[in-house]
Amino acid sequence: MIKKRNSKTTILIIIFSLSLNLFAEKRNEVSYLRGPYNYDFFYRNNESYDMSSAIHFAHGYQHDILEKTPLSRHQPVDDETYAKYLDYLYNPPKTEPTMEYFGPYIARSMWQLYRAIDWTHMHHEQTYDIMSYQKIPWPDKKEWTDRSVRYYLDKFDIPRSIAPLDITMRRAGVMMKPYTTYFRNNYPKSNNYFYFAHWWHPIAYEAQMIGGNDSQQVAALTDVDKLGKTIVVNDPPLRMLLSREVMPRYSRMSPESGNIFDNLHMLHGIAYDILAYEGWTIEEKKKELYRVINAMAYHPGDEKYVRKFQLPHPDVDPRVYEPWMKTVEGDMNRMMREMMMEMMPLMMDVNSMSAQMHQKAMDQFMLKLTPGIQEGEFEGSISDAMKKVMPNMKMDEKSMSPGATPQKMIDAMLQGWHEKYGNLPDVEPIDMQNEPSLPPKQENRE
Amino acid sequence: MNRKISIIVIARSTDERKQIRTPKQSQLLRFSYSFVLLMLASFSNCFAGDHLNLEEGLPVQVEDAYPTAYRNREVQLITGWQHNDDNTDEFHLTPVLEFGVWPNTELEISSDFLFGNADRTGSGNLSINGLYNFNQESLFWPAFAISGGLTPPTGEDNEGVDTNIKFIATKTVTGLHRIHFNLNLKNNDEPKDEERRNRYLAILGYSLPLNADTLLVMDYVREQQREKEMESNIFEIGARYKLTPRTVLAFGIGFGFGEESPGFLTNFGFQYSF
Repeated sequence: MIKKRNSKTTILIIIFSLSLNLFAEKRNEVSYLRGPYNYDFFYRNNESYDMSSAIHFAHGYQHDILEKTPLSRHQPVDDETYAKYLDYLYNPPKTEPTMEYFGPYIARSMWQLYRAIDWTHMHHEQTYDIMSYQKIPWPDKKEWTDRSVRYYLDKFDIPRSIAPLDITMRRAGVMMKPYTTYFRNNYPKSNNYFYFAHWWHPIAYEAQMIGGNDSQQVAALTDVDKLGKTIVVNDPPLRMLLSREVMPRYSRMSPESGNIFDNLHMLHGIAYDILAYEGWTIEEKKKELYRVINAMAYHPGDEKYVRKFQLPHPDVDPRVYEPWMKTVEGDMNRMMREMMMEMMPLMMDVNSMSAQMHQKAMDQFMLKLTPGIQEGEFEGSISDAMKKVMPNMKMDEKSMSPGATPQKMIDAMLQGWHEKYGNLPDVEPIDMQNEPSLPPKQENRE
Repeated sequence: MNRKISIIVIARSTDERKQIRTPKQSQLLRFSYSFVLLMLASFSNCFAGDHLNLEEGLPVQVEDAYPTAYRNREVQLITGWQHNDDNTDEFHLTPVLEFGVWPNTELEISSDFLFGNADRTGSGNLSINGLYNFNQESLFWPAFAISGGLTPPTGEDNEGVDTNIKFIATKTVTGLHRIHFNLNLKNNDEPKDEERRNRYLAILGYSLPLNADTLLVMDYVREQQREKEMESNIFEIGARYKLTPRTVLAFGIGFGFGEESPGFLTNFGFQYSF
């Protein structure tokens, strides 16, 4: 029997803990899926694994930087963090850190964000491992990848959606929120480092896809790692590249994973925008971020959209940094422009809008989507710039407040997508029966 | 340390040759694996792939309020030597199996083997422990956990079912610098005349990252010992190093101060997620 004094202490502790249990946010971490392939990428392609570790260090680190830095100091802080990211890229950690390790402040204030990110990074690891593991015969890669996707979706409450970003971005309804583009406009060096990172992740899958199971996979990955470190990081893409653009073969094999990664990469960008914005308290930011996390999470029925995308460059060679990869123009910003046009009738009388004003609005819109602040660009977010160009623009201010869902805008955008792409044929699956042989490197078409 | 690394390397290279093994060879290998795990389990007490998540004995006694992830499985092995105040020496070997059995809940099965010329009461005891974490730490609230354990009389010269309940709190102060507090209340079910029935062990710990793969951890341990009117005070310091995505190595040393406290102690162990 425990002595009376100890009993009292124990009872008090239990009562306190149980009451805490009622209102506190739970940690709810889930471990990875077990398989014979676990961590094969770490052992077989360690340099590539290190690239991923360095990139994920930067992702974690950026959160706290944005929340704790006054916007007035954005330029020197952007320079410092970018220098740090480069240092880690060339001197990476041996193992991949979780978001909490380098972004502990946001771990304590917006835990669900890190859960969503770390869980999807786990899926990155699983899928790299499956492609890397030689004992999984080439024709079985898809089956093992599907198993991993199933685990990713079934064992977690907020996995990223398997629907294309075209759907989830519309569902998120962030375009006219007061924070959108804050990160890319004010922290262009760090932002473009992440555009480099979002080139590397899909490109690495595509290198595995053209390399096959044998040593050619290692050779292809070595090539893209070298290309990344010597060329791409110094001349990064100016938009977020999508899976369908730079890993078309992998996207055909596992469109679910491709879409999951696009949805995660966009979540990074939205989270950074929200954290960089100074108009809201941290609690308001949390409210908004949690809304976005749920909107871009898997929803029942997302399956029917999985293959609803087109492949603009189906034969891309991942070992070549093509000119079209670098531009602001591309699938991501095509999507953004479509969304803006779909929402415009809700905010303006488009029939009475002059062609000149329309052109001016779209010019400002593209400037906002371009990293950094360009000549003639208005300060602030997309909605700030649009209001300056179109002073009569009507906005439902309530739906722009933290945590509020701009339902009318979302409905208009989703309807627009259905009208344009609802009848799009599914993207074709890829034949995995024959293991590929690494083709000669394509010429850079610059 | 080299031995642990070589075990991992052997396990991996063996796995890669699996396809060309005969059934008899496979059986032999399975037996070898079991033997290695058993050996590991008999002299270490930590296995998790996360160096940030503090485990008791790896390498110091303080534990944080976070459990291993749901569905995780770990094996831990802790070895240690302690030179006591009465000039006796104690060597211990503690294998642990740890499971994330439910969300925010871990279960541990461990056994503590004692060697040397010090008191070996309880050596070989098999214990079962559960830990439940109540919350993710917020900007204001620490993370809290409660753990409880049962030790049936399975070891040397041990009677009755001993129990303990531990209250754990973890609070980040700045960056990833964290303070940890453990209060462990222990009950000796059938004490001998010279033994306490109830006693406490209180720990104040501090951890901080040295780099992406290494965590420094230190603690001050105040303990009422099993023998009546004996108390000890220990300061421990050590490091947790993430060797691979699923392997953490831990090494620490400690010094006692005040009468009845051990003079010097050291711990080495590892944890491995499988």
